[in-house]
Amino acid sequence: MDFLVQAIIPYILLYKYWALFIATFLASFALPIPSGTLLIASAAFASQGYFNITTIFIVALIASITGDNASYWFTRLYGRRILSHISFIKKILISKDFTLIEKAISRRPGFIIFISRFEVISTLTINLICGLGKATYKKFLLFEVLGSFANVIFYIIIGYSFGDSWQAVNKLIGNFSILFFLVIALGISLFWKKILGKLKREMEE
Amino acid sequence: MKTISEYRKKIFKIIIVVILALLFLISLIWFASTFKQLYRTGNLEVDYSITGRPTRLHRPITISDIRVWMTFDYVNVIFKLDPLYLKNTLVITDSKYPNISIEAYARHNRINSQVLLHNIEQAIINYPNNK
Repeated sequence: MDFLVQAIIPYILLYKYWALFIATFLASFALPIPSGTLLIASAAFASQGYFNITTIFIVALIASITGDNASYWFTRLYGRRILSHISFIKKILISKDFTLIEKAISRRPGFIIFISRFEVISTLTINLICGLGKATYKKFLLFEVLGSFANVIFYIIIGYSFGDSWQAVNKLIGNFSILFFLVIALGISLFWKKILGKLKREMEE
Repeated sequence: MKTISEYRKKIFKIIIVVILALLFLISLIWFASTFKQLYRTGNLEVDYSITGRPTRLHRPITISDIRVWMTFDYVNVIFKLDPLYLKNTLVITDSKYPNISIEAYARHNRINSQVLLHNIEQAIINYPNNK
């Protein structure tokens, strides 16, 4: 179990639902906290009778939705102003490629927003891009709620089903997802120009 | 007409795609074999109960599962111990008990956390209901 999780779990055992709420909220808002692992652990504790599974579901869902919305509105209102102070980020923000990605996400946000909820770094990145690009809030909210719902259910089912074995299962999922995302990241970086070209053509059409 | 460098680029891309596909396949095989290994070692036990209870994939918790991040309250609940049993057996005087993690208690009282963990395991083995 990684250091971050080992540092947070005692607080979940001590402060229960409040700690789960804060950790999940921060993971959705700005910090790369492994909220999936925390949800698996909390659901496993529920299967042992230490927590209530329904309360975990409600708390995690509310925390995830409010965190995502706070992140969206914060970046929408203050994002450009704050990030433009950092020179290399400013360069990215005014680049043609970034504008193109922003437009592509604003045009078809559903699948990207939904699927990004399953990984903490992608959640933060997509929230940031949607906020900066001022993607339609109604669309963002709809797919964000659906994605959060699916994400919370997914991790809760794993944690509750595997119960006392949650640490072994979490390690298994963790190792696998690192490899999986590494392959995807490599693929995207390799075909970056092709992807941008395709987006450009789609925009022109 | 395609130039030689364009052909090279194309071949390079094909090689990279094949490597990525292989990596993906290897990670899938690795995932499946680790799952199988966990299942064989008893870390994942499938209860194929059809008596109406939900099917669960877990094994019962044992003292070897106790970790330093666990709180005394949590240990008491999952091992069904009397809340005062560990306090009395290990002579714990900390006012935060049972709402303190094993690691935090060991740190506050300058005890080796592994020694404390071992003492907790022994106390649970000797718990009257376990005999």
